[in-house]
Amino acid sequence: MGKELTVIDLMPDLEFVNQLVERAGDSFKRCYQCGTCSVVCPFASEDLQLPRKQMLMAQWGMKSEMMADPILWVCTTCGNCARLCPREVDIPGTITAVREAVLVESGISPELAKAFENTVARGNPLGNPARRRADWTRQAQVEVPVMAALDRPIDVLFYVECYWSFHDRGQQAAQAMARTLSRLGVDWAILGTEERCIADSQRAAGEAGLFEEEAAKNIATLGQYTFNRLVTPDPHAFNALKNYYPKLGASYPVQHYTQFLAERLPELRLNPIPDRLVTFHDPCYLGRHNGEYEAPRRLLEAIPGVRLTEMAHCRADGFCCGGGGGGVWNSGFVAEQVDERLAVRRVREAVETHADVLAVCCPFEVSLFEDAVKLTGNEGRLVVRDIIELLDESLAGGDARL
Amino acid sequence: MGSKTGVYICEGCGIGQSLDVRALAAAAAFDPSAVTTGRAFCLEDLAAIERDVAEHQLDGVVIAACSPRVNRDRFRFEREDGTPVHVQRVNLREQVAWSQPAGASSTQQMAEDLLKMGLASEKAAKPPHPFTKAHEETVLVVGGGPAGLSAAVSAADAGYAVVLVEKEQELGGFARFLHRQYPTMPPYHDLEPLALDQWIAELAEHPRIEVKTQARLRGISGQPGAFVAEIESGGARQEVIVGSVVMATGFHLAGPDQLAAYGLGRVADVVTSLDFERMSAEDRIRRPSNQEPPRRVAIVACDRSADRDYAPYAGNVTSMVSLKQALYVRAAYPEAQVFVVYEDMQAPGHHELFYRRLQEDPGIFFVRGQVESVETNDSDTVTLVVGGTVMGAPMTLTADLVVLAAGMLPDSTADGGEPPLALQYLQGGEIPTRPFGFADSHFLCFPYETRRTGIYTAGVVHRALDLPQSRRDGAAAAAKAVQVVEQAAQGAAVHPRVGDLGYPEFFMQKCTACGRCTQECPFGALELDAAHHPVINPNRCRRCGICMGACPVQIISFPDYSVHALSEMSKQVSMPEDDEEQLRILVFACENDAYPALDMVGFHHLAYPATMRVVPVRCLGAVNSITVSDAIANGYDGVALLGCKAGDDYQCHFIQGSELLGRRMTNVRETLDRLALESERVQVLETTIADAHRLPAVLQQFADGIAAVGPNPMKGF
Ligand SMILES: Cc1cc2nc3c(=O)[nH]c(=O)nc-3n(C[C@H](O)[C@H](O)[C@H](O)COP(=O)(O)OP(=O)(O)OC[C@H]3O[C@@H](n4cnc5c(N)ncnc54)[C@H](O)[C@@H]3O)c2cc1C
Ligand code: SF4
Ligand code: SF4
Ligand code: SF4
Ligand code: SF4
Repeated sequence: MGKELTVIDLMPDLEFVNQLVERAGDSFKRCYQCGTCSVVCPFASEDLQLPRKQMLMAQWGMKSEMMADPILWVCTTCGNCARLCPREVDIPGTITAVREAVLVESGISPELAKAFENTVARGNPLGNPARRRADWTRQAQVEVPVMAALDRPIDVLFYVECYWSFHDRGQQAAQAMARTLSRLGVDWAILGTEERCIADSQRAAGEAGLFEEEAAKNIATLGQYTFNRLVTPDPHAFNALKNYYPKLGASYPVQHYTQFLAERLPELRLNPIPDRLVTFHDPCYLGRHNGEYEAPRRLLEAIPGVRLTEMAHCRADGFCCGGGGGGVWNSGFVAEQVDERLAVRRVREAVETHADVLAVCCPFEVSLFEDAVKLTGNEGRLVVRDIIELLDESLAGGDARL
Repeated sequence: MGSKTGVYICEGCGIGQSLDVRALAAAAAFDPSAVTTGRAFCLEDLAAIERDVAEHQLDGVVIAACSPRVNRDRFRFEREDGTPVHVQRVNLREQVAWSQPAGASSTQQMAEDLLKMGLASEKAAKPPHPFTKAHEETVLVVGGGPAGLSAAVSAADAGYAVVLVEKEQELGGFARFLHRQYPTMPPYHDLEPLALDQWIAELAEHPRIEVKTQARLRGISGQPGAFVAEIESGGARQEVIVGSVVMATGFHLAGPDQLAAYGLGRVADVVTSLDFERMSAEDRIRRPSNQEPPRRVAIVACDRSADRDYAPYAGNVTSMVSLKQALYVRAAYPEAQVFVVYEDMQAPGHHELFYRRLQEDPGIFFVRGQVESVETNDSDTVTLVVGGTVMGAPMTLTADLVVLAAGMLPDSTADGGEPPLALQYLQGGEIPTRPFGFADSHFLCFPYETRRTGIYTAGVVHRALDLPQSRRDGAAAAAKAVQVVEQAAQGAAVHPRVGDLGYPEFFMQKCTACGRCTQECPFGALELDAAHHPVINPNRCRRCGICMGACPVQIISFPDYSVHALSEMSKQVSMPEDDEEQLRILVFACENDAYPALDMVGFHHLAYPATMRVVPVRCLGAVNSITVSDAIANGYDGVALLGCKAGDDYQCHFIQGSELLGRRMTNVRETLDRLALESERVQVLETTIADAHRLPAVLQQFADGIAAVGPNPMKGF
């Protein structure tokens, strides 16, 4: 038999259904079980009918079953399913709503709980001391202005976010970004130790409350200053600032850093770098969720020496790295539920293109992919670079001052 | 045909580049000056043929040009007195110039053989004597449900008299029991009132429609244009002459016999969708067990495709009925919950919008799975076990009322009583049916047609349909019924050999009264006289030629098509006797599927073996086994019978031609065995038009097979 013969009683919890409708709209009610989503979900397998089964359980108001189902926490909210759903069901939104509704009662993995706690206590999910948030600037080789110290209106407020602030590889990217902004002569600054996590992935992982609390703090901080726009390297933060903050009453012009730099391509004095075949991984929250596929590619193609090649899954069809929706903090738990890490699969695809470099522009990805390169034994064959690192290399080539 | 025949060889469309047309004209056995060549007989040179017809009063023309399937209307000629000129086409374009190497001697040889075959066929043809004695135009409609009402009004609107026979006291069929109609108009959101009163009013306004209720057919004999219908109503019998018949006898709903597994008749609170329509119409939706209002209702679409034994076809009707009835519950009891259990939800077209609307309803839940059992439980409600859901484990669903959206079973046959049309045909009183009892012959190629010419079906007796579909079906069947009476008056065939005026003639002196022709005729056209000799009803005949293929003494022939003509044609082909390499294979290709497929081969400039000579036949069933054994006796190394798919899902335009031939071929093979010839020499090959790209390989394989067995040892004897 193999399969457990537990009998499930169909007794819809209408209150639960209403709760979901309030949070995510009623699109999930229209799911007609075609299964398209479960074909394209990166976690899909015959046994694991994510997210089709979850949509059905939501329709049937199966609160207790959903609470007991670990698969609920596997989804990265990458959005590939929703892109193809013929009934236009907001699948990531519904999954997020279910997580919100059951979070308190169902309990979550210790890893994820820790990330939430850290966010509340220290303003970042990694658990680093808040006071060290701007430490990366010391090795930036250029001066990094801080808002509080400037005390004047500026053009660009650069929202560094947690992984570029604290993670080793992120810091290197942040430093490259600082140099680039400085080369361009941009009037910019950071919030420094005043900055806190935007917490968009915590929201997608079900912590709407946490997200809103953090947002209140961030809105208050931002409210003290005058700037023309926000620029951030984090597609998740970009997503929240663009799509969720306005609902909380705070609208700012916001750009992902690739968009900001792509607009300034004519001013970037790019120099040849050694010939490299580069493939690019579309971050779900920049591409599918916010429709930006061109800016990163325009930057890469502009670097002399870079030849761009595409992976089998790219642009709208791009394959998730596994980091979204809280996945970046939940990898141990997720690994118990599925056969293979998504980052590993993605790295295999990158290797198939024979690329030398896997280029990224989301702070979660560098470390996830570098681990996957090691795991798959591709060290020495493929390196992972943030686009800003490649740009910095190219800009530096012709800049004697650095 | 007669002595005066014109021969025209076209050089257009690449024929001139592929063939030496002058040599071809010279090779035709008679005076080459009698042959006219031209660059395009379908265009400017058409006048040359018209002139010849007028000047020389030609009886027939042989046009060696494109496929007989094209330019049919163009190549139609009449003499001054109105007599049609017999047209014999020779396919030099698709099947020679376009599918054989240009300029090759084998190509030239093939063209020459085909031209000679065409000339032989023309020579054997005689003018038809159409049967023009059946002129009745009244349309008989049997069944006064939605489909029948629509058929009657449509035929009357077209100017034909109609007799409508309904067995019940009231018209309307199943529509009489329905509470509401599911949406048929934008925004496809709300239930609509039934339009039955309006349909009946339309009928009443028509002076040309005579309605007989509480009436039954007691017999139908005769043929299109002259059917004799015996109608019994109010105890009296009356004979009515009608030109054609529309059968719209509808359906009955599956009952406990089919639905016991779903609890019907066993569990008190299980009812059918019909019961539920009635309850809703009376505004009394109650649990039968205790007359309480239900709080949890399960509606089960029981026409699962997996359930092969029971109405797996009803699809969109049962799906839509389930949706509609879910709303009945919600309207009556806003607090009640409804569970629609289905396996395949079919909400085609705009019905999708209605489906979505129901999905959004907070009290309606959709459960995709299979009902495994339905039982009463301790708390006096009903427990359904549903398996096969995406949940993996079986689920239980408790309901206090279960409604079975039961399948529709066609009322096409006697079903214990008298057949609905009471046909007085040698082949029986019933209309032959297709799987599941639908009275149909081939829904793709000939919707509405039954296997009894002049009798058309409409509504659920023909296919699982809803009201708007049944209404359209009725109108369409009426169009067919009207068409057949017009054709019948002229003695012309209906589909697929539309307009053919000839019909089988019997050289009766030699008939052995074996009865085979009457058994094999797919359309029941032949009856027997007192001496057990066949008698044809020409207007029932579809001109398939199956009787001609069946007759063991070959006494059945058409004026322009006969065993003799086929044999003469096959004799025209040159036999390269001294050349071991040069085999000759005769291909009999059915004109409905195989011949068009061969044209497609040419159209795509693919090739088929140069050793083959193609003879079109009306149906593979029209190939007499003697024709095949003659071909072998005449020296052909192989004979391929190229036709359509046989079996339950047949594609034969004449229903069973390929199947019958398959059976006859056993005899042929036995004959070959007796003559110590390899039975592989004769084979039946299946193809479809869509398969044309695969045909060259199939034919090549056959040719290779013949090459492997070697030349026919009978050659030259
Ligand atoms: C529960 C249910 C609900 C439905 N709801 C809808 C709906 O909401 N909307 C919709 O579009 N469709 C609906 N349908 C489908 C609809 O009922 C059919 O499409 C329609 O009735 C078919 O019409 P018909 O004329 O082919 O057959 P019928 O309605 O069965 O009519 C056949 C007629 O022929 C008569 N008859 C039968 N045998 C003979 C004989 N031997 N001699 C003389 N007369 C004979 C019968 O008495 C009857 O009057 C529903 C079906 C069911 C079962
Ligand atoms: S693709 Fe959409 S409609 Fe289809 S199963 Fe998934 S959620 Fe449901
Ligand atoms: S959002 Fe991505 S991970 Fe989540 S269910 Fe959809 S495809 Fe799968
Ligand atoms: S030609 Fe066909 S339809 Fe006509 S009598 Fe013969 S078998 Fe029947
Ligand atoms: S098959 Fe031929 S011999 Fe037999 S009954 Fe018919 S016509 Fe006569």
